[in-house]
Amino acid sequence: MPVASDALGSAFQDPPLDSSRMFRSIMNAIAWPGVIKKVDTLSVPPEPLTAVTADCLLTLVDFDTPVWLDHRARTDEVSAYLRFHAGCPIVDAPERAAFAVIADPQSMPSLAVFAQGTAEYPDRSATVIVQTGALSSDEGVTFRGPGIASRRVFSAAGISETVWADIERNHQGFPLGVDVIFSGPNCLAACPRSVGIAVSETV
Amino acid sequence: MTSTVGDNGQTDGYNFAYLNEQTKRMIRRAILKAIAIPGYQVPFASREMPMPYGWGTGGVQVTAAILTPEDTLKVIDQGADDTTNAVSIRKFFTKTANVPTTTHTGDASVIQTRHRIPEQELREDQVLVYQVPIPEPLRFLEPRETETRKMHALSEYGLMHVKLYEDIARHGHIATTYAYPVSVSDRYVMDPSPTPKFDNPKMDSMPALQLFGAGREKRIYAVPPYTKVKSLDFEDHPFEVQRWSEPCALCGARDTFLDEVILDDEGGRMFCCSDTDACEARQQAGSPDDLLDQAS
Amino acid sequence: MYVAVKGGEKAIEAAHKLNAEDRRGSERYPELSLGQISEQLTLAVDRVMTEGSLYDRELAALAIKQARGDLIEAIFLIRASRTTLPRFGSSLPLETGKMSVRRRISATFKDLPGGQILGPTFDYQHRLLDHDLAGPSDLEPADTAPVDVDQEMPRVLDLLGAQGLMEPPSGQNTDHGDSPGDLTTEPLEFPASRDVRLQNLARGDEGFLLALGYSTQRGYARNHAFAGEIRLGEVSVEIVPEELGFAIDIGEITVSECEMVNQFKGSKKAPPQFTRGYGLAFGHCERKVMAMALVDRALRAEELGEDLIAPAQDEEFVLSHSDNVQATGFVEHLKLPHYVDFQSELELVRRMRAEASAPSEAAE
Repeated sequence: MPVASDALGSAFQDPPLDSSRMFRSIMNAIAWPGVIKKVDTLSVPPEPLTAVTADCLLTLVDFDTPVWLDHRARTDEVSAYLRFHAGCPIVDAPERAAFAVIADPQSMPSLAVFAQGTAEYPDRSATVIVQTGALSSDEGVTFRGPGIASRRVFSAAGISETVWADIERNHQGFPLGVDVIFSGPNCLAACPRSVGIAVSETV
Repeated sequence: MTSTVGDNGQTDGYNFAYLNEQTKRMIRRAILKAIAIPGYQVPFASREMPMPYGWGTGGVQVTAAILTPEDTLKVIDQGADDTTNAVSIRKFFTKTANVPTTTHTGDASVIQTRHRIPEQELREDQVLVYQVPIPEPLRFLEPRETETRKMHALSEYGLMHVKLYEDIARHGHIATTYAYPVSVSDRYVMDPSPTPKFDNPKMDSMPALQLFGAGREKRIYAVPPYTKVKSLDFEDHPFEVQRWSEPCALCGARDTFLDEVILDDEGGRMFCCSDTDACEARQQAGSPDDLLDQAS
Repeated sequence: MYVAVKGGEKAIEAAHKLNAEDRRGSERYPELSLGQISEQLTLAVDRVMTEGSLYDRELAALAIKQARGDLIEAIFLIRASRTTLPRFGSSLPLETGKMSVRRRISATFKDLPGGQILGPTFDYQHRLLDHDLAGPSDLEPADTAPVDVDQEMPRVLDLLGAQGLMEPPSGQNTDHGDSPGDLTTEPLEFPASRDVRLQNLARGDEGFLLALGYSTQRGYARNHAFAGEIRLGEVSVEIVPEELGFAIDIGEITVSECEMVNQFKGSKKAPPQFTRGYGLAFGHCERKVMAMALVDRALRAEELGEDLIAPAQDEEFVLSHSDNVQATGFVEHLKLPHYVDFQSELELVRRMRAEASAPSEAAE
């Protein structure tokens, strides 16, 4: 287990190799919506940022990508950690963010507040990383869409039905909309905008 | 601290997989958006690579961005592992990323290709990276990016159907034989790269992730696993693939894409598999006749 | 058996060696040193730095040597090397008004503050082969300039601007806030802002811009250009490091600059006045900056409400095809095997011919 070396926590030891492996996990998560990927985390970020979230950010963000932090994640320590290790700007306006971190999914804003992309450039949209409890494929909502042969069951502890309804509303705007990464304990999964959600469906 | 693979004398002073980390992050972000919006071409700030534009720089940048040290790489050009450009790209990654390479489709975790999809069905744990020269399927109907971008935004693909229908009116069938346009997940019309239309059906619901890189044109796009990919056609003129009247002269296959080889200047010719790995595997597995018997 | 493009690995290795042999040439002659190239083939080095987007004479000289004098190949080598370099930020705008001028001419005014300085140029030389150069040559020292080159030299277009006859510089259509756009970090998008357009032209192929600029003079979007000012000299490059918060000088570079003065009849929005086209390049690239200024002005047609009638005014056409590294790559990629695509076409053509001949045979 890596140990924080100083007040600023620690990041990757070997960025090219560490981030290549982490990216592959994230890429597979987006390509296989709802499939849970185990992650051997490497960073030691300040709370409430989890190591999985921090590894995601260290892999994807830099000074070209403004990051928005929710009320719980937005501590001086987290801001300082991200600025120091990733060099990313921290922004107040959610619509300006390329990446958003939700540490408190109970009071999560609607995904509609984030950049949705435009009809001509739907890629100019945010990626939202939501820190959750345990991820499970045994029960929960049903995913359908690209990356899924027929359907896939998924749940993330702490994600309410209201949030799932919001994620489905996000899907309705396809090809606009944001892409969601669920950052669980030592694991991650994703729900890109292309995926439709059925909440009440029984398996 | 950066990891060069220099410790074992393989790469001198270059970052893992050549690109610097900032560039890789930019490409990786584009790849994620491409997967999230299947078939949509994501603009990315393609870099100058140490091989010429038009020679696979898009595919090389995508491969460089997704490669991990645990990967095994296969590179094919026109279906073959031993063509000069495939050799050159494979050497580039051996040198800059020190990853093992293979010619066996089944042993590869990442396959970079130019103009073919392997005959052997790909698996869920594989990624297929295409080199793309002109990513815009509408480009030869409308040269302006500003116009084609609007057409994609509005799903306005009438022009493409008109073009295909004009073929039918003139020739009795659609005269596009490669780079045959497809519709991805019922939304974006996409160029499959100059693969023969023979390969189009393999793209539909493929278990492997498909990534497309166009370096000179600065676009990345993707087809996630198990995604609907439909070749454009008409009810009265359904899509069909090429067929050959004779089998591969080397392995006897009747269900593969065949290259024509000119034997003399008197019209003598033979046909053999374009996918050299699949062909060799068949040859090793048994005589052509045995295989034909098994197939029937 | 068919081996034409197989056995690739050995063939590639042999090709590299053959190319190296041809590069070296006969060993009867001493090998070129980088100093010889950077000092004696200066204009080649300047072009490679400009279109390669990297100010480094020694690397450019190395690229020219390695490329056997093929400048597009050398530009490609520089670009590929540039890809691996980290990026620290953007400089402040160069103050070319404060240039240490070595050459400065205006075709619009006979005399002007600071004077005309002819400087190093081929312009008034008779293009007669100088057979004395076939061997070692003796240099006669040049006379020193009759004017004080240290005095302030206001730019000609600013002088016109002070009288209200010249439009203000149009950097205003920049979408990028304080720092200029950079098409090496963000893909080109249409319509492009002028900063990105100028960057594209500065990196663009000299021959391509020359032909386009020439076409405007021959009536394809004629815009009545005058060489308001061309200057060559050294300017300071300044950056503001985050941690300091004030500008520091990081060195001097040589640049060529051209400001064209063009007629403008006026529109509903603007009164008749002169308009400008701009060109800037590393080193001494006079033909390049003049052509660039003509094309820059032509590309402003839409902004100035002019009719779009000619290739030089077509932003997508010009900016998409100006880059010689992209162009040469794609043209030359036709050397790569295309037998899978060709096989598909072959099959189709045979089938169509068979279908075409079938009915006529039946009719006979």
